[in-house]
Amino acid sequence: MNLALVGLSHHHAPIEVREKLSCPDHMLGSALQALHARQGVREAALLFTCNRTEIYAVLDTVDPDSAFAALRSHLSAYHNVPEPLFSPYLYFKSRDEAARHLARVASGLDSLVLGETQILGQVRNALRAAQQAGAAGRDLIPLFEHALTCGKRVQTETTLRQGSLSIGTAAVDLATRIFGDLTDARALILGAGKMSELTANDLVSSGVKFVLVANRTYEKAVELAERLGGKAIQYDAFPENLVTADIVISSTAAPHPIVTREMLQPILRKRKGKPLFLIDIAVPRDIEAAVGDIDNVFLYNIDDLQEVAAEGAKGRAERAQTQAESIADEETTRFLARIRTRSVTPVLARLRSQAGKAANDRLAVLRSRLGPISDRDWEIIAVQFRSLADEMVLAPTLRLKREAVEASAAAGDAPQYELADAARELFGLAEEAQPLLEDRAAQPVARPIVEDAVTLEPLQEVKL
Amino acid sequence: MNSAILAGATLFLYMAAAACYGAVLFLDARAAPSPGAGAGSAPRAARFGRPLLLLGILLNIVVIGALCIATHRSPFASEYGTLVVSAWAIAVVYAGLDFRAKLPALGAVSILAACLMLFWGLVHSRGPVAETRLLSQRIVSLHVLATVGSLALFALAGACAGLYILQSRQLKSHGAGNLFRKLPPLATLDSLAYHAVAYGLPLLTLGLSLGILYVYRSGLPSNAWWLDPKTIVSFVVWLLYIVYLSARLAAGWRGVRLQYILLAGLVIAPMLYLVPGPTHQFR
Repeated sequence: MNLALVGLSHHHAPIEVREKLSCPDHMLGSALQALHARQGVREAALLFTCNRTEIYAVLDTVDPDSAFAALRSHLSAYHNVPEPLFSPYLYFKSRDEAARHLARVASGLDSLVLGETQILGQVRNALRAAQQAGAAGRDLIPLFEHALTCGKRVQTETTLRQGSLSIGTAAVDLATRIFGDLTDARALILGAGKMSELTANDLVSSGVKFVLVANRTYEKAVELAERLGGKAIQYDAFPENLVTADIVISSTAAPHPIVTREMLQPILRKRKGKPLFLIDIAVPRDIEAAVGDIDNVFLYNIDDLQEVAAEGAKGRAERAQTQAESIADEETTRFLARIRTRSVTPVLARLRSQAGKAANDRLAVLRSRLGPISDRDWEIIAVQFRSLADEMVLAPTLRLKREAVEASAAAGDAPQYELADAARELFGLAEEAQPLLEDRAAQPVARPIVEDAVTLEPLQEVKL
Repeated sequence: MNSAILAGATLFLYMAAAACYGAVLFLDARAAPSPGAGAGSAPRAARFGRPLLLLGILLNIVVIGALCIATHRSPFASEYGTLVVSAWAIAVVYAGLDFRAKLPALGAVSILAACLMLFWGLVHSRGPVAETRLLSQRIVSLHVLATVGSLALFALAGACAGLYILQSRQLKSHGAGNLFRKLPPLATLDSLAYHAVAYGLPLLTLGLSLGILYVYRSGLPSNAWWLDPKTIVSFVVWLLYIVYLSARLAAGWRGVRLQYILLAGLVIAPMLYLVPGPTHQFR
């Protein structure tokens, strides 16, 4: 499997760069199709979050440099951003490293807010989108499934998430430092998306009673306002409501800032120095950075909030992190073993089937030649025959699997299964086993969309 | 016992209390009390602050008493006595607040102001004591007491303003260094500063009115009093806080700029102790 990963994340890339390479949800399908349509790309999946842009692809080429160059140039061409602008922030990983990286990402170990759980949903969405676009197949589906399993295990088996603070919690923390008691604070929500709702929910549960929601689609604003116990306003009316608002949460899909310094100046004159807390969780950003320089205006974007959240959670989850890292390693090793033994699986299946058939044949002959025998005795004989057949194929099975894993790891996934060939020859499996392999490779992967592929409980507490 | 020795011990207690409250700023942020948190969440160091402060206040009263016994005069008959009372007033104002809200950062700054007053008083502990009986009149004592009380409240307002500006800068710079978690919320500081001025300004007005009443009742030459730098500074301070209250109440101003008025007050008000006062002599 020539798996390649190219991406950039909050670790090195500033939000100014990340927002240029972001992709709104409704464009994800076409972005996947564009990538999948490129020559040499067998499978593709895209993971876009506020913190990262990552391409996972299975390529024809085995050369890492060519793979990196191809995916980098795709990013540049698709987003219409010159390569030098983002290249210094890019990372490239292939095969085992890429698989391990995705496991860590899904576990929240690579998140700025360590242990945050929303990433698991985002990985699941990335897989779902890739499946729907027909871009994910026999390699990427199990890769993402393994990452989801890993993330779920980290959530349930470690206390990592308990040490995390969500963006919403960080926003509440900051709002409390500005306004003290939030009961009288007035919140204005711009954009009725999930991020807005999650953050607003935290504010409402912290005591904010007066909530206004503005969205381009008024009906969505009404729905969100009902859920939050607030009131919907027309999108065009939001500037005049900035005069009385204390906290503004902005998370629209607008490609350009909707709140600028120029627009805010007359509003701030009317506010007479009353503090204004602006929370910009949109990528690309909704609020011009220069707004943050104005007196009594406190502007926090997604990176700032995550830093606050990370600082709040620091030191709380060290042991849980070690535990989570070992789960990620364990799951990755298991996944890689599964992938590497995949090519010998048809040989093994045929071998087991052949042994089983031989045992059944001998049992049938024995039955015809034996005299009257009780059912219980016959059952004992049958079990012994089948056990004998299983025992005969056990050693070759284990040896073949180990050889597959070791040879594949040493050769970088280039298939060199000499023992498998020998097994085909020795047991007369070659003619029958080979078509099985080809058939499977040729067949489209008809698997259910991810919800059925990995049974995930609904996230109890989805955090940003 | 010599009141200066007792004042030294009081100063030590105040400094220890300020250090305990201030230690919160340098300890783990998560130990700092969150807004509205009860006593249970107060860091251990801050818990020692209050007993030390209360002990200091009691000792400060003893110092004032010892001074009165030693001089047979009101404490306002000397600069030392006036400063000792000023330090006590600041400490009492914060102690009163400490029972209502846990704001150790504000405690550290306020008690530091009391320490400065007391230290300054100790420097002048060998200064002259007014022999005139004028200062023993009740109206004069009330005039000074009201003025000192108002200045203690203005000191608290100034401390709030200083912390407001610091907190505002922390929040604006996105300093995730946790200092913002240790400082009180902006709204709390703004409200405290406003209430301190709202109570302090009538007290200052009372103090000034009593002073004017005394001058006209005693038939002293009023021009000399009006031209006294201490009188002029008093009225400047009074006007400054009038401007603050007008801006806040009448014009509805809020925010950082308003805090700069209080900081200006914090700089100008101590001038009352520093500027020479020909008609306010301790002789």
